[in-house]
Amino acid sequence: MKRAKYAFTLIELLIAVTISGVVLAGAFSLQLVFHRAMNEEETIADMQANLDGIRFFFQKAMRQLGSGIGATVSYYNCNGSVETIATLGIHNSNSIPVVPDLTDGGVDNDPDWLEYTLASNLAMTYVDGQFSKTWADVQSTNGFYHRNVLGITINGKTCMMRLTNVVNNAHGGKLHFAPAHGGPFCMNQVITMEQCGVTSNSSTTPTSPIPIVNLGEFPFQALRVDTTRPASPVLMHGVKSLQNNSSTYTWVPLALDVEDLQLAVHVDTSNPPDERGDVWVNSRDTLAAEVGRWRALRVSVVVRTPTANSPVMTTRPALEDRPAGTPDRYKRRVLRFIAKIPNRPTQGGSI
Amino acid sequence: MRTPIFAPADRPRGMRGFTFMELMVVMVIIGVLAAVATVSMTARSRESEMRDAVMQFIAMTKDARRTAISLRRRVTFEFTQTTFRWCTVDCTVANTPATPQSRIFRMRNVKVLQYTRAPVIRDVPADTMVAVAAGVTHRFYFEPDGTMIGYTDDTLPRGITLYFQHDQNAGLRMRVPVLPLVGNASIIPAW
Repeated sequence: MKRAKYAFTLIELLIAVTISGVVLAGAFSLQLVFHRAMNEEETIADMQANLDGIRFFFQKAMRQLGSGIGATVSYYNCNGSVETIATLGIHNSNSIPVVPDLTDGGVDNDPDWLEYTLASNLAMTYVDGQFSKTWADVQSTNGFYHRNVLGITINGKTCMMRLTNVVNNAHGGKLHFAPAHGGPFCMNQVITMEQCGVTSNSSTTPTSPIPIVNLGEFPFQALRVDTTRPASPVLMHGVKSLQNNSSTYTWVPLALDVEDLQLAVHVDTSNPPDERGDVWVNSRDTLAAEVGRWRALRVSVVVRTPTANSPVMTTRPALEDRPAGTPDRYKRRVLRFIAKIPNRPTQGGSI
Repeated sequence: MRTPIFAPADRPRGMRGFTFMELMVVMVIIGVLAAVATVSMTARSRESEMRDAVMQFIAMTKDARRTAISLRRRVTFEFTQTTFRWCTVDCTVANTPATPQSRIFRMRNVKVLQYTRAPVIRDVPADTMVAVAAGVTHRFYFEPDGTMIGYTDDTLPRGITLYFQHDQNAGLRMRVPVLPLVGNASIIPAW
């Protein structure tokens, strides 16, 4: 019974402390591992979400690309002369045209510029400055007026135009736009005001005058990867006005941490040409003489994690004929799309 | 009898209690530990308040965008210094199944200090910085095609960047750029 009076000895205490220390250290390091794994999963989930955004955007663009648009479209501008625009263009990274090479996997010219038109089934129609419809016509055909774009549906086509100089009482009550700003773009499909986000076609009657806005921002769009800062590459989306048909794109970021955009076209080399492509070409600029033989477009996008904290050493995936980079600690995902280009030239029509 | 400060050596070992000094030493140690724990807990809870506000903002922008796409209507996103919400069409239209609205989210101890109508993905803002005053509502919009605009008459998509700051720790700041085309937002833990 004497022993009950003793306290713990120093040795006993030390042993206990040591054991609990080891157990605590184990638990703590385990927690660190879990925490790191969780962070990593979160990064990957973010990257996946980023990819989903790009996928959504591309699917929409490619669907419309593939629904019958030709590589070039001729249309009348409002001065009455015919203009031809290339609706799909591929450029290499430094915009230098290169020697055409029809063999697959030629010299790496890293083509990473895509220029395209979005409006599906574009049919261009010449209408002079005075549009022969009244606002009442617009209202009676589920037309709309939204963000300076007037839409009117006639014979199953919706024609859209940027109004520039609406004079309600002049021109016999007809809607009017300045000739210098182009005629309406008519789609071979009905576009409702709901699809344009307009809830009422009566409360937004155009007032006079409406500020001049360039026509045709919607036809010209472009994609490229901006690597001004290699640590944070950005996929940029550009919109260009038909008005100033130059290189003046307005760029907005489409997605962050996109390392690369790679393009290839499926070219029909058979004679006479058929509907099928024979060879994938990825190492040159757009060739005007050849675009009529394009059958499909392949787009590849490389997305990576924002920081190089992955414990796995990975190389840049080899895409098209681009050389693989040196290994680093980024994690990557590749998105690849193939869109058919039926390549039927679009026709003008009357409304 | 005078109370001894230190344990009297003449008592048998098992009979001695703790002295005042021993108690004081233990209490000081406990106090220091508690103070350290409190400080770190406070920092942790401020960080989580910040994160909560920012994550809610991002989740609500995603909701707003999804609603715009699925209902094919413009959705207005409203924010003040301390609240967020979104409404179909605009916030004067009643909350119905056809024109849903979100609840109002009130941030705790976090403010939107300023914003700029461009996604600031690099350090330098590309647009004018607007200070957010108390009680003033600011808006941006999601279009039916899923893009964002800053003003109702915008013809091109326009992103936005909100700058958050914690009320009790001015050094705790987050910048949240929202990309105009796909509505993705990222969190940048510094200005």
